[in-house]
Amino acid sequence: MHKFSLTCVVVVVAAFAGLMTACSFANESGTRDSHVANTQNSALNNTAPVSEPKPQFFELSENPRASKAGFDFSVQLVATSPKQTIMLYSMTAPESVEARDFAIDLIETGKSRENAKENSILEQFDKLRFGVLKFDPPSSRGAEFILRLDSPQTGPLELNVTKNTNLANSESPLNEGDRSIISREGSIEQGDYLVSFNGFGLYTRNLQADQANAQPRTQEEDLKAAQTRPAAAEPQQTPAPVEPRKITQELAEGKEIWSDASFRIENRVTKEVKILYVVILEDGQVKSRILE
Amino acid sequence: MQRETCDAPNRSFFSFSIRCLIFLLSIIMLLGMFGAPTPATTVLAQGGGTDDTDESDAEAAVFIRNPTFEVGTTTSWTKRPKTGNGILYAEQSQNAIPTNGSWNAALEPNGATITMQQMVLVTVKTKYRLQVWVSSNGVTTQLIWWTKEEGDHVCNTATKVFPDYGPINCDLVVPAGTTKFRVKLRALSAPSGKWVINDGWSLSSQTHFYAGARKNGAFYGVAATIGTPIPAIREPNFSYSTVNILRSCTGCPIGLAGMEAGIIRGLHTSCIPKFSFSTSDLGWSNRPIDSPRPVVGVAYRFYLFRISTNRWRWQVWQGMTKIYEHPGDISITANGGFDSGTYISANGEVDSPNRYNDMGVSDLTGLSWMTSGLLWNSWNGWNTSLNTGPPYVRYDYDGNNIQVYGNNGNPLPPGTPCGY
Repeated sequence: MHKFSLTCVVVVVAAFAGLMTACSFANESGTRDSHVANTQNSALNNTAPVSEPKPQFFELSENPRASKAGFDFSVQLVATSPKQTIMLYSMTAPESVEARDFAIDLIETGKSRENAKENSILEQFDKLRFGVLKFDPPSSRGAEFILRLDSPQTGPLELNVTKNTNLANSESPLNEGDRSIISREGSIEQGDYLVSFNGFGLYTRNLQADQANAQPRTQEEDLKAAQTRPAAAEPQQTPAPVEPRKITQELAEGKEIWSDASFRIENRVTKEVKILYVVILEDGQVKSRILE
Repeated sequence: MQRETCDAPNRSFFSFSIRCLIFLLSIIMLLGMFGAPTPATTVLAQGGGTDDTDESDAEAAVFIRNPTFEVGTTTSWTKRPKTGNGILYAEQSQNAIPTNGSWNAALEPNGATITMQQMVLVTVKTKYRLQVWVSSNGVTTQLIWWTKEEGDHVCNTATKVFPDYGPINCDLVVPAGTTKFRVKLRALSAPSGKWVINDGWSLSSQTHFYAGARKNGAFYGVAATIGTPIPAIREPNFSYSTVNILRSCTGCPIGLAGMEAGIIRGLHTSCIPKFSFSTSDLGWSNRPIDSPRPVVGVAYRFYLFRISTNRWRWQVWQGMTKIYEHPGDISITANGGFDSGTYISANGEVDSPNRYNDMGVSDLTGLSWMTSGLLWNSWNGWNTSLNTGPPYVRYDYDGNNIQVYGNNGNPLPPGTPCGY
């Protein structure tokens, strides 16, 4: 009995020693893990990128537009990513001229000419057409684009589309996050129409008029105007991400949305106004709907 | 399927001790096995084809699927060769730093050279960093990217011995014509009993994800009301909701002169949200403010504005009360100074090399800009939309409001705590 008990004690003591050793190792293991963490954190902190604003590498040229012999072509919006270049354009042309009659090339500074991969009509307002051009992605962050249009009726036409604004990184290749969509500002007259960029998203008011009619205000007035949500005395849950609007979801048909924008089309004769709402999808498709 | 060992960190001492006690009394003392993580015998065998030309794993996404194995399996990964002694399985022991759990994938060569792999979609001619955390008991690993056209690119060979559990990287540029490739981790032949664990896979062409609205013109100030988000910072970097006033500048850091202000969480602040600002003169390095501090869920109005030639003010307001003003004027002296901006922006940013950070949700409302006459105007729209690409950071908006939110592709469960 005693011998058995002694054996038990030895076993238990040995087991306890083993337990402590194992647990000691576990803690040590945790410590080692923390050491790894600290080392890693330290290494990362030493090279941690600063929270820096994102440079703007290019912008639209001052007037991306070409006109000749009743033909009027203007780029309205340029979307670039490492996967593609998309341009939305508005165009008026004599009835005898179809969009397909035009050969459209994209010339990127220092690169060879590239044919449009796609040139399709998005919507038509009598003689005013909205179309989509698709090209390969820019070869560098500071790409400068020139469009060259040619048809038997007009002969060759060129328009500068973008210009480099940041020489520091202009030669750098695009990376995954170099995506931007730049719109034309203000309004242009094309045929009987006044075509205006009406803001990103679905904007059904008159953005140009809103800008023109904006009343400058003092800081106190600005503070009062900004009180759209009450200053919470107690912490609140942050809002949930805003769901895309129903119309946006309908146009996207379940696909990933890259961006959306609105154009205001005013018939200068009849004063009739329509909103062209455009959704650009991640896969490069461009969907649209005319809103009365 | 789940390997249990005594060396798992991040568990309470008591639960650990109980498990250890049971484990100890039954096995440990007899086998003398404790210490380094020991491979389990439970195997999740992976199916699939037999070689690299096989397309059975052609299913691919723009991210590495199941990069952390926290689902408790190695689903989305295949083992090559399909047959043979080498095994691939999910095991639970060490917590690789970028992940939130203790599951890993394990490879046991058992005398053979074996590989775990999956296909990912990539963008041609784009730079990427491929990363995985590895540790072993003496197995040499190779990190590889494979293209159909060029075969294996062995870009990192390492033998990391436990307790060293750290990342190995490959920097690569996707060749012309390649739209997808396989990422692979190969364990070189090693005898039975040898293992390598891995975790925290990522494939990223950048670390800094960003979305925002930008307006061009001539500006002398910018303002926005910014809601304090609840980001989940799992890596030692940051998320930021910010307004900027800028101009392009040759010779300035990142080619920009100007300043920004907003709410930061992560970089230099651990998990505490802080008001912060930076300027081009500071190399865009953040200057978090220790007091006062923003409260999660509360919105504050930020003003950056010029008061006279090259003299700027930064203020933070809560309601109609000014709660902070940067002491003294802010002046930018380098590269011709800064007397006005040619563009203003409102943004959300998140930096996350391994895509484990989530910036939370932040409203930036009441966007305003200042005229040369020290008066404020509403933005009423903007002309540039920036978005690094879903599922990173997105926004929704009307002419004077945006919302920024998102993560870097590995969504975290709601309520995931901040911390690293």
